[in-house]
Amino acid sequence: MNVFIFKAKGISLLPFLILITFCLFLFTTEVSAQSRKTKTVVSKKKKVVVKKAVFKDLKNLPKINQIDIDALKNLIKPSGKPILLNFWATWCEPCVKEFPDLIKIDEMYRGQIDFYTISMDELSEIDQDVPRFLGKMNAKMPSFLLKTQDESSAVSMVSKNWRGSLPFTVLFDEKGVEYFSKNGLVKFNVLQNKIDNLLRK
Amino acid sequence: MKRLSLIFTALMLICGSVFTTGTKAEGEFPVGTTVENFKLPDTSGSVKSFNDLKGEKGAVVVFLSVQCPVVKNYDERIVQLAADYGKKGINFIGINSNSTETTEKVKSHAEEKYAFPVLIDKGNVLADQFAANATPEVLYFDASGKLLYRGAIDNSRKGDSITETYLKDALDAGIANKEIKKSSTNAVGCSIKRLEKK
Repeated sequence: MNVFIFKAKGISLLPFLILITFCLFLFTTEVSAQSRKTKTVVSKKKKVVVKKAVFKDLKNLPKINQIDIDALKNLIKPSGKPILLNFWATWCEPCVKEFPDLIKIDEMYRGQIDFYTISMDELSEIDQDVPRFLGKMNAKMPSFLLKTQDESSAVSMVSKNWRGSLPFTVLFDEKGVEYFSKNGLVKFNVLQNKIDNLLRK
Repeated sequence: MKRLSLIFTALMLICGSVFTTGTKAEGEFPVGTTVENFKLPDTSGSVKSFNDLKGEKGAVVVFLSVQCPVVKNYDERIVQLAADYGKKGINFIGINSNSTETTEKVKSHAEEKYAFPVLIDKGNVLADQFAANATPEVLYFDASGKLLYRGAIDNSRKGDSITETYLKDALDAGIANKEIKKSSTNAVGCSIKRLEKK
């Protein structure tokens, strides 16, 4: 008797077996595609890559330091070099969209400027979505998460041009004077020009 | 010499006033400013004016978004405040200024979530006029249209650690004709997706 065409209660099991085999095939293809995607930092499907990052193992992910208003104040103290800050959150669509450009900026100007990213995510994300995303992006710049009961004061302290919308990018000169800031998505060329102009000064 | 110094002072004054006007034109709308009666279409296309929609004690204009997770976190609190203060003569008016959100989406979202009208600010004209950048940001006007408070609703985006109820405190003080202790805060939230300038 052929096992593939035996009948149970008069119903042929062959179509079910074919369906299960097909589903298994689809699943295997998806898993292998996923592992390929997670290796690609910048691809046309950035959104997909970011979501898939959730499945990546938690080892070797960047360390995110929690900061309060005082620590933030120290961070933006003039250091003799221009300082670039990017305020972002994993839930903020334009923040996620512009991040690959910020990675490029970091690679281009590392050593010439101090570049810090500051996440405004909930504290519970400090060892979850924030490092996962930054790990996925292969981010090398020092990264922080701001936790304070008075975000409003923190925002005022950073820039008179910022009222809390994300993303926010601000560039200070070596004396700590604001040279450029942008509410919303920052364009790579614009930021690059501003940094170049500042470094030429 | 006296005449020269007079001319110099006059020139300085003129320059000063031009500079101040220039700064204001860039979009500042500080507390104390009186709103002009603006008109915008609601989600059904019917044009509504601020004066028609405000309550006898004033209005709260709240900048909203369909997609913003911070707005989603605040929705329950916004609905509650609108219900509580609607009874006290302060009406809520929602504004959607995001160029990325279609009227259909804003309409279905508003019908599902809010009992107050949501107006469509096509071309982010009102957002520019009010210098609003984030969602959710609120502006509380008294019955005469004077801005009494602008900024965040409270100090907890998730709603699990509220220690400051900025908007509620402002509304209570405004209704009681008392001084509003904190009349301006910064609202951390999503950026309003403006039309790209060509």
